[in-house]
Amino acid sequence: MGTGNKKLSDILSGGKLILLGAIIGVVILFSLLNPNYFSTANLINILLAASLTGLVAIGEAYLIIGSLCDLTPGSLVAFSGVLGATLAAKGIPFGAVILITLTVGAAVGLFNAFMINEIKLEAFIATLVSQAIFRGLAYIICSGKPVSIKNQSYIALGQARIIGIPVSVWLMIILMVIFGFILAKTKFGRSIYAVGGNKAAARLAGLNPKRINYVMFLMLGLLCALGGIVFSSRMHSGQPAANINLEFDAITAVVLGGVAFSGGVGDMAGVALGILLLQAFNTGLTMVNVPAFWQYVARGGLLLIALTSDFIRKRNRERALLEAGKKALR
Amino acid sequence: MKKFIGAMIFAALAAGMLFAKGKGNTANGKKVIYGIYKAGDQTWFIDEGEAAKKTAEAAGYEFIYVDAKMNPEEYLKAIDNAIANKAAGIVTCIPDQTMSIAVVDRVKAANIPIVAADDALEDNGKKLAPWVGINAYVIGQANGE
Repeated sequence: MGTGNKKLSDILSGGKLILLGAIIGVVILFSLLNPNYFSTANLINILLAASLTGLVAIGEAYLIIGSLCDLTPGSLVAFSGVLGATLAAKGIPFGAVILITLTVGAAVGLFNAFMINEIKLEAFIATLVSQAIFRGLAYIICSGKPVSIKNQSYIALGQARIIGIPVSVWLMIILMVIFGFILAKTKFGRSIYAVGGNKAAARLAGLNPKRINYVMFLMLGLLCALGGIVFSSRMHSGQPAANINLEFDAITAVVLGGVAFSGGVGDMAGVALGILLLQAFNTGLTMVNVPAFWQYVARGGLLLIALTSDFIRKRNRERALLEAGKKALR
Repeated sequence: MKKFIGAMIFAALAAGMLFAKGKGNTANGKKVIYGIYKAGDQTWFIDEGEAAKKTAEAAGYEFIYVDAKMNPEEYLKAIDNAIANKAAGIVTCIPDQTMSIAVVDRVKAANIPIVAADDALEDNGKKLAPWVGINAYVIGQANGE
């Protein structure tokens, strides 16, 4: 077997084959129930629906591998969308709108990391604080009223397609490849695994967990701001009430994709499969007319599968470590 | 572990099949009308959806009721879903009227008729699609008397 084949088998190792099988199973099932499901329009639709969750999931994957999490994204995406729309409404050029919004998103990320690193708040609590603050600020800057976008360059971003595929989908794919490469192939990526696996050991090995935290939160802040701009562009407006629970969808996709909630394990290929499975499933539920309230139950069931598989993987890793320890002592 | 996860996924799929009430517009020969409501978990819209469903089914259509959860993103996904499912029509109450142009442009491009219920699809007061609404002024006046 050539090197290329080995790499493919590495990429599809372990749980990813199950995920791939599950995606194929979901697509076949829903296509049988509704032939419109397996159409170019709907497959692009699934990718488009996954694009925002995908952007957030990239950053959440880094944080969860680093044994952290962030509950801010839903609020920050909404806040960024409203901020972008408000700036555009004041006549600020679109390029400057992007720059300012990304800067603010990065600053929010750094603020989260500051609360965790310097004030020593738990990530869950610190980002819950930010979630409330930035949802509130989203309402405050627009006085509670959604802001219409009339800037044509801004609107074009959400409507543009390249080879028939929306720009937001391309953004998700390109950023997943870049961030996947950073995670897997760079010193910084490896240091995230080290910190997530064992923070004390990582510190003794000369790593600086605080600095890594700052960078990870900054990246997620930037991704959320970018998501806010693209999403508001698709809606032609900045919506302060938008994207509630976005972070939970992203975290579900990340865990479903094989990233261990306890940290130190996972990769971007798994995350991509997790997002695809989540969105293929959600889109199919509506398309085959599963009643609205049963869809909550079905989504809860999918989350249960994600968490249970995470628990089983964790248990197996611990068993393998225990066995290895016993062998070493013999 | 693989067997367990596989079994759970299969169980979820089986449950999906069990609760799937229809087969879209081409599998069972029925055309589909989507009812996409901004707060589909509230009594007002549940009742409105039930009435729309009865009317649609009496006319030989299948009716898909979608709760947008007051979430613009969920709402747009539902619109895209209706377009991909080649809906014969959409009846909708939009979560926010500033999104009206985006929605109407999208369904017009797909050649799908759309009717607004309760909240009009409008831009600066100009109606962009047929609207079935309530006379809030008269209701308010009646309450005041």
